[in-house]
Amino acid sequence: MAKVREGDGGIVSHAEAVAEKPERRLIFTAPYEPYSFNGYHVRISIFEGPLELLLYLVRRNEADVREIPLAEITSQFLEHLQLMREVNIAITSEFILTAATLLYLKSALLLPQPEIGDEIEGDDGPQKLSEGEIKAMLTRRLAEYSGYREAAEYLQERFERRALMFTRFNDEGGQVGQPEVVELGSVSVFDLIWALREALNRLPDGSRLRIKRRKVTVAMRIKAILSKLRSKPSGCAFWELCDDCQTKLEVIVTFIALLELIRQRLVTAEQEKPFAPIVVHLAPT
Amino acid sequence: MANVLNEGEMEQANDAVCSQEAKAAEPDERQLKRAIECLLFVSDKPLSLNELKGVLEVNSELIQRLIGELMREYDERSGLAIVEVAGGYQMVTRPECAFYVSRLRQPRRIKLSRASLETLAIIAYRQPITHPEIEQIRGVDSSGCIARLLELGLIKVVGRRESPGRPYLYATTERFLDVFGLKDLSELPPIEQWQSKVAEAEIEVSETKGS
Repeated sequence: MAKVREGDGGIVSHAEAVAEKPERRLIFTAPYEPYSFNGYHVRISIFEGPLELLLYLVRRNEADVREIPLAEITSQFLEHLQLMREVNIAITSEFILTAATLLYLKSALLLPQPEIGDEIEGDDGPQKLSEGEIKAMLTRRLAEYSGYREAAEYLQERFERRALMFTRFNDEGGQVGQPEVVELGSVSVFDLIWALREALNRLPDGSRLRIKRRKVTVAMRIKAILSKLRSKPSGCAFWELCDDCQTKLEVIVTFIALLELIRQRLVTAEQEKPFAPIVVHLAPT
Repeated sequence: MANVLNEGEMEQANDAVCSQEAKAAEPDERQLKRAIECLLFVSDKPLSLNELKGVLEVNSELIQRLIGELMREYDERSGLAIVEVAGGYQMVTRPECAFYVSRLRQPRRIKLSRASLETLAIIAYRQPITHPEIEQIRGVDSSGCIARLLELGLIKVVGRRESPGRPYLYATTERFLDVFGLKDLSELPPIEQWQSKVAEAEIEVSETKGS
């Protein structure tokens, strides 16, 4: 059941809500011209969609999918979008739509009226949907989507079992080839974004507002990452790779450098279990 | 045409033919079983019941019974197995032996990303389905995955939807059944069992710190 917060009246815009919390330092900025990272332009195509991000955040925040603090999820979702944009990860309009839906649900919380009927795009075109109906729609889409995710895992298992049974004839199969996109293996891109958030939050106060920048390139950060990993064979968390960073830009560039190293299979990123901290190692040669 | 045989001779001739046919109609079951084994051995793809019937010219029940016997015999004594896949029967090496076999032969070189598997799962359960419908479920651009699945022969175009844009309709292929070791599409577990877990949980909106 939706509980409406009393007392404040009026809708607090998301940006203001973010600024209110002292520990939450990430400030939404307008899209800016991407810096030219000395010719490096690792464009990451992620295959996970907004529902997957939502599921990821839900699971990270809760043990099961029962109680989801909607406000918290919405903030995190938007933060992730912002960061993904900054590291040049392609975001589809579906992401924006999901974000808008979440924001709508969240704002519905803050309004004094318990029930809101408004024009909004439903699955079948513009219809009047109440807040409850929107929630139901979101739940339904989440359920549907996660069903197919599990089905995909089932297919993977069947594939592996079948692959152990050979026939007399050579199976042409498909070409294997090197993937062009970054293959993250078992680590989810959202886990990496989470690690990026952590690293950004660790920056000393006020550093984000610093105008003067040290020159930083992806090549430099690649060298720095590799040397740090060599000196610590047990592996580093992403924030450790950034502990000499002083500005947000340096952290972002370090992140991009890390993705490039992963793509070239020079380093690996692993986690012990889902949502455990990501540890980066030099790849075994 | 004049009838050259009298009635008695006609009857005798008929009996002779009938008894020959009778002999042919009761082939040695052992012979048949061995024949089935040979056919499975030489075929480069799963053999359907109809195909076997066409070659052996006996009825389906007999073939199925004999294959059942063969399967049991193979289970007992052989490193090979007879499996039912893609609507037919095929002779394959046992998974336990894969370690050695793979030293001699390359394993199936299909590599499917999780995204492609998701797309494939959606098509498998919802066929026929269009590209925009797939994207609505996944929320991501799926054209790369669809192209790859087409390339690998795991899906095919089966028509167009008569709606704006007339998008292509996709469905899975026989090869899909083969690659994933499925007898037929009904062998896919009902998707509801996975979906209901989330559906039961309502998104409970709660008053939280600082919302």
